[in-house]
Amino acid sequence: MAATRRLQKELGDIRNSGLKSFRDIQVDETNILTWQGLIVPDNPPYNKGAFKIEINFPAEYPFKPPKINFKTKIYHPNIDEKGQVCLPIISAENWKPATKTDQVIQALVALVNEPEPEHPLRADLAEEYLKDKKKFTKNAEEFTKKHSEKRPAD
Amino acid sequence: MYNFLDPKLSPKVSSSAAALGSYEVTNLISENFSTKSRGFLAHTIVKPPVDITFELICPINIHYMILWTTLGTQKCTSLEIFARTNNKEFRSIAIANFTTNGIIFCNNRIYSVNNPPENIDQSFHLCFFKHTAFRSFTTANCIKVRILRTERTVPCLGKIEIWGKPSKMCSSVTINTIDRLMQKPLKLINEDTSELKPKNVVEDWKVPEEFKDTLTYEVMAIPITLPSGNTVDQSTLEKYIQNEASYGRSASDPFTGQKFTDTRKPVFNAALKSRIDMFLIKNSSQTETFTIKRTVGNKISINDIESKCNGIKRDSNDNLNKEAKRIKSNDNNDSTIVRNVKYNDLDENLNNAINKTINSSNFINFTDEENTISTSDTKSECVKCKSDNNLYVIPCTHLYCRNCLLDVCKNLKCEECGQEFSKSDPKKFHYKTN
Repeated sequence: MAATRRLQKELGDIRNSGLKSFRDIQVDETNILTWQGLIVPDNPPYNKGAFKIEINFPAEYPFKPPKINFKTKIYHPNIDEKGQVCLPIISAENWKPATKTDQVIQALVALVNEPEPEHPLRADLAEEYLKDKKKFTKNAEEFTKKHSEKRPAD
Repeated sequence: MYNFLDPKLSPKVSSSAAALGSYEVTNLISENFSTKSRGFLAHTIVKPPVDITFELICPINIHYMILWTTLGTQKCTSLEIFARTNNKEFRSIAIANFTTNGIIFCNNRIYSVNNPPENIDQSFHLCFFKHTAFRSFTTANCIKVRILRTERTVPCLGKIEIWGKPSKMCSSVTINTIDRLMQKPLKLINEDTSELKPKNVVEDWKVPEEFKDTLTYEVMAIPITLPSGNTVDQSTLEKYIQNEASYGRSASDPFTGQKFTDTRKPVFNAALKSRIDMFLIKNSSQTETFTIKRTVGNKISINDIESKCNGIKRDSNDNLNKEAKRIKSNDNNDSTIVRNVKYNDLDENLNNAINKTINSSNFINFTDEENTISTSDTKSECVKCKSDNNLYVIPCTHLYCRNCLLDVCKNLKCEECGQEFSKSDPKKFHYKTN
């Protein structure tokens, strides 16, 4: 499979890079196409928790983009209830095979930290974010406390 | 009697001069055979005298010393030996000038010219210790070899052995310890070889990064260098171009997204290819290399390169000329339309490119004889008028004389087999003399 060697290399690179905002990367030895990891955002209201995500690589990777899914519920205008996320750099038509997974993750972390209400997946949250930021922050913080994973100690 | 420089007796060695890399003075007492055979060589800037000091396990009575004083083309011609008892001063026990490849210093109370030590190289110069230094060489626990002169070369010492018995000063405990140490099996050496094997065979083996495709990290079979400077395998580039085509986009650099043009296009990196092949051949015993993609003179892949590197743009000059012209005449020509058309006709273009390449005079076919232009066995005459003067060959290997070719060129179609060709295809035909 074409994807294997590249994914092994990328996985090794990410694990060695010691990325703070994405950690606990778990990969099934028999299936390197599925990665699970923990997103640890820095900005409020999401800095109270951590969020589990799953990255699915197609067999044609790197010619086709990976797909990202949130396994932890999150109160975010760009991530819907099913955990689907709209990230421009991994959309099929924008995808460049030279894009590395760590760039994708950095883009995702940036999106979580700074929501983009201009291109929402959940219009209601986007509206709340734009019109009443305080309320949004309060709701998101409560939601995070209730649903998110525990943040790693360090 | 033992050689007290045997590694089992853990002697120590030091030198007054810097050594050349991997010719350290410790080589002389190494337990590894190959290291030991390298010997000691001083750094090229070093001039005599050079002292090499050996510290022994206990005071010994030296019977004889053998020194191999050549190393490659380096040669020493004058040596002085010193010995030290406990912490007293060094005393000179022998000095010699010689021209042989080695020298043997002996105790004159045990050996004589007619009765030399056993198992020695007869060509070596024989020299005796000074009578006056008797006390020193019978109770020496430290021996210094001073290289006084060389034959206009760098100071060196190929190998040294110091044979003797523990001195009478030594207690019975010391003597027993030495006996026990010398009777130890050669375990160390076995360990050493087992250590060497995995080092050379497994750990040190790694495919250099530059041989790997920048996108897929597979070892490249046909490395293609892109305008952006990155190198990818031809199959990767093809897949990428195909993928881009499915979005209606033209061929571009996967790293920069810049479209390929006549001046900025991917090129086959022949130098890298030969280095990869060399590397794979050298490492063909490694199981990892078994799965790596190879090229075996497959003519399709060679033609693929041709079509990728040159054909991408050039084919619009051939078959797509008409379409391109038509679109251009519309004046609002969009290059993407040209390329969409191109991809529809890709197969056809590819076949044309293959034929063109095979029939070009530069093409050398390594795979089979049949495809080489079979002009020598067919009758060398024009297929139309049977004249054998002024012949031209077109891609389908049919021959036309100049007059008939001008006729045929109106349709650009071979009248024998109906295969199309372009105006630039006909080549002058030369008779082959067998």
